[in-house]
Amino acid sequence: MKFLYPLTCIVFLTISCKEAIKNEKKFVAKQSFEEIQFVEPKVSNSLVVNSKEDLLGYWVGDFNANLSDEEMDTIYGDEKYSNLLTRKITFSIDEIKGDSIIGHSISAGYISPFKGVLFTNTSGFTIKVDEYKKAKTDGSFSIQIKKTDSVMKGNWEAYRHSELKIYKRNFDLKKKLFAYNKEQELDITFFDTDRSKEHIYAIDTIEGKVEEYIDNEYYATTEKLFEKNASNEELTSDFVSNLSKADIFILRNSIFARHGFAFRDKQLRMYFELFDWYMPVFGDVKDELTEIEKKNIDLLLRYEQNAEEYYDTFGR
Amino acid sequence: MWVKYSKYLLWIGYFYFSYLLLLITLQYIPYHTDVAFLRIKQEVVVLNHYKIAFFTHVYTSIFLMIFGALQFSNYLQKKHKKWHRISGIFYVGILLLLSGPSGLVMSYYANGGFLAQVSFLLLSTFWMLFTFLSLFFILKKQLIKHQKFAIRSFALTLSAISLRLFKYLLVFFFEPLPMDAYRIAAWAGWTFNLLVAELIIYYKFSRISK
Repeated sequence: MKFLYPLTCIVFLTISCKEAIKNEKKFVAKQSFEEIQFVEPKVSNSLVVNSKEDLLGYWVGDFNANLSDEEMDTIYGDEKYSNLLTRKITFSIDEIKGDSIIGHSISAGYISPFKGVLFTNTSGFTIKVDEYKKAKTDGSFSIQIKKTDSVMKGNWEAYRHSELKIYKRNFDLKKKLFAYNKEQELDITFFDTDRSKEHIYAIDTIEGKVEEYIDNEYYATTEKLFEKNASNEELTSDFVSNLSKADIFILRNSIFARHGFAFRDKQLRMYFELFDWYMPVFGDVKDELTEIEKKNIDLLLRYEQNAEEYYDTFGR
Repeated sequence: MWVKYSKYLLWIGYFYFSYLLLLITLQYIPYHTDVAFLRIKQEVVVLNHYKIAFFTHVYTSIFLMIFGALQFSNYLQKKHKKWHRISGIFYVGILLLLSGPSGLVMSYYANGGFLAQVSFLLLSTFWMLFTFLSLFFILKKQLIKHQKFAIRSFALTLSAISLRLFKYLLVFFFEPLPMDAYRIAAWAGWTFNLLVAELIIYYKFSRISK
C-alpha cells in the first residue's frame, strides 16, 4: 500500500519526461508584416464606375486558378496547393494620373505593388498593370470595367510560368469600402486543419475482427469564444484564464481582423475569410488599435504565451 | 520483489520530480517579475507583499525537498540522530518561518477564484499546523505522534509535485479548459496526498500497536 502512490508516479514518469519544462519562448503567430511602401490610397466612395476617379479604392473578390483540366488534375491531390486554388484578393487602385495607374494587391497576406496604364474608351475602361516586387509570384493583370457597372473582370498571369504551379488566375471583383466596426462579431468555430490528432471513438467487433473507428480531433475553439468581443470591451483575466489556447489565439487575432489586417497565416486567413465583414486590406494595423484593444492584446498575449509554454507541461 | 525495488524507484521518482521543481525555481533566477507563472499574475505582482511572498516561497521551498527527504532516512534516524535533528531544524525553520507563511499570503491571491483560494488556504494552514505539531510532539518526547505529524507534513510538502503532476495528467488525458484543470488539481493535489499519508499512518502504526 505504501508504494502505490510512488509506483503510479513512476508509471507516468516516462510520459512526462518528454517535454518536462519548457523554458524557451515560442511566439506563435505574432503579427508579421512587410515594409512595402505604397501611395496612401485615395478612395472614391462611389461604388459604380462612371468616371475614372470612381476606380479609386478597394476591389475585392475571389482570385481563382485558371488552368487547363490536366493542370488542375495535378493540383487536386496535392494538399499544399489545393487550398490555394481559390483565395481572396484585394485589388487596390491607389492613384490615377492621366492614363497612368498605380496601386497594390493583397492576397494571402502578401502585398504586391503594381503600376501600368489605364485605357479609356466609350464603353468603359481597360487596365493593364504589372507587378514589380521582383518576386517569382510577379505577374501582370489585365482588367475590364464597363461604365455604370460595378464589377471588375480580369485575369492575372505570372511572368514566369514554369516557377509557379498556379500561374494563371481570373477574378470578378466588386468595389468595397473599408470601414472599421468594433461591433463585428465572431460566430463560427475555428479549427486548425493542420493540427489534429486521431482518436478512436468506437471499437466494434465484426465477424471476429476488431474494427476501430478513428476520428480527427482538431485544435479548435470552444463556445466561450462567442461570449466576448475583444474590440468592444475590456476583457478580465478571470474570463481569459479559462479560455482554451485556440480561443485566446482567435480572440486576439479577431482584433486585427476587424482592422482589415491581411493575415499571412493560412489558418487565420481561411478562418476570417468566412466572415462577410472581413476585408484584408492592410499589412500593418498596429497604429489603428484602440486603447481597449491594446490592453486586450496585451492580456491575451500573456495568457497565450502561458498556455503555449505551460498548459501541457509539469507546472502550474 | 516489487517491494524490494519500489524503494529505489521511489527515490528515482522523488529526485526526478525535485529536479523538475528546481527547473521551475530556476526560471525566476535572476529576479524578474515578468516571467513564467508571474506573466499571468501581473495584477497582483505589483503588490509588494505579494512579491515578497512569492519570491520567498519560490526561493526557499526547494530546500524543503532536500531536508524533507533526509528526515525520512532510516540511516540518519538511527545512526546519526544529530544530523536528523539539524536537518529537522532546517526543515521546520524554513517551513514555519518562510515557505509556509509566504504560501499562505499567496493562497489569498490564488488563480481559479474562491474555490481554489479556499483550497490553497487550507493547504498552507494544515501544512504549517502539522509541521508545528510534529515539532511540538518531539519536544514532548512523544515519538509516535511526532512521526504521524511528520508524515502528514511531508505529504503536504509533496503536494508541490502532485499538484503539478495532476494538472499534467488531467491535461494529458482530458484536455480541460486551463482554469478547470487548475481548480481540480488545486484540491486533488493535496487531499490525495493526505489520504495516502493517513493510509500509511494506519498501516504503519496499527502493526506496531498489535
